[in-house]
Amino acid sequence: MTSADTRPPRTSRRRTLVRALGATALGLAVTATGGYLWLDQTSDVRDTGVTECVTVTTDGGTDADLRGVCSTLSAMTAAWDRNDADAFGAVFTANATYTTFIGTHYRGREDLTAAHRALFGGFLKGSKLADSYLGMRFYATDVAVVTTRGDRYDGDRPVELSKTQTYTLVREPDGQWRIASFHNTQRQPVMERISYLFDPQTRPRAER
Amino acid sequence: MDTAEIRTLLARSQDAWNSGDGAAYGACFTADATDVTYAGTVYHGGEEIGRAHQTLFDSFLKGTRLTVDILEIRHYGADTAVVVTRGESAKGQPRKLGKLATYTVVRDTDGRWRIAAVQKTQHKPLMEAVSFRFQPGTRPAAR
Repeated sequence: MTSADTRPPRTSRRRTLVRALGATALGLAVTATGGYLWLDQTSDVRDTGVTECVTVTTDGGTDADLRGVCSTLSAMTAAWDRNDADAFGAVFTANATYTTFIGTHYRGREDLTAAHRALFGGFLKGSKLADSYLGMRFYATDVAVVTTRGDRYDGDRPVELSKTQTYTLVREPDGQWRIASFHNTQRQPVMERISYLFDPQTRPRAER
Repeated sequence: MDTAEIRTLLARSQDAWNSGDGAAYGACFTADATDVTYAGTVYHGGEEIGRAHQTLFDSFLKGTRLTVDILEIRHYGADTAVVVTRGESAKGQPRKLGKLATYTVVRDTDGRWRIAAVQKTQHKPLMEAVSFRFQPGTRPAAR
């Protein structure tokens, strides 16, 4: 047999192999996509919190403290909804820190106000803020930590809020509660779900 | 004095992480603390934080070391402070400290400083660069 005679079967074997590999890759891709979508869709949070700040579960503090903290947080949301950077900055302490969900870190009221002025005139123009309150606790007599879920939105308020926040507020000498630190994190539902699947012990009680 | 105690507290939480000791890690937190991970999961209470981390230390975080670089400590009153850090958990030396964390620490009822709240975020340099490029006003003053 000459080498010319052997070529056609070898080519066809190669073609079969390529097809088999292609089919396997496609199968894997479909499985991976399906798996990803399944993980994503089965990863809703159970503890969605309450939309009315004054109805949040508190630990410590008086009714007046709760109302004071809620009034500051609602002034912040109202300022955002009006895209009013100065009013937004006014609810923070002069030395407050503000960490966004992409990890940008602003130091001081002036810094975070200037950034929001730029954002309200650009990326966040016309956007509104949705908040849901998970918990509020008080330390000493003048400190409150508030955990929330939230999102910015255009149009209809989203049902699922994609970010989690921690606020630390302090009562300043003028009696006003102001935000001393704000930290925002985007939820990673698939990463979280994988962690719960492989290590069920990593699922928080509130999410069982 | 207090600042030294706060640094000691964070160093203790780091040591607990590095030795994979969930109980010791949880003991750095108040009984009602919250820990929001960079995946956005909310853990509640020192005990739950310790238990969840023990599970993670035995699996996903096995053999990792926590690096914490304190950017600032601000005091509010005598018994509370906010601490901002850049950190990373990695096997060996991390290439960069990609996670921002805000800690709220309080002097607990027994007089010891503990973490009342911590939240972490993965820094996304690309998204940030886009934001700074198109809206230079969003760039923080301190860099």
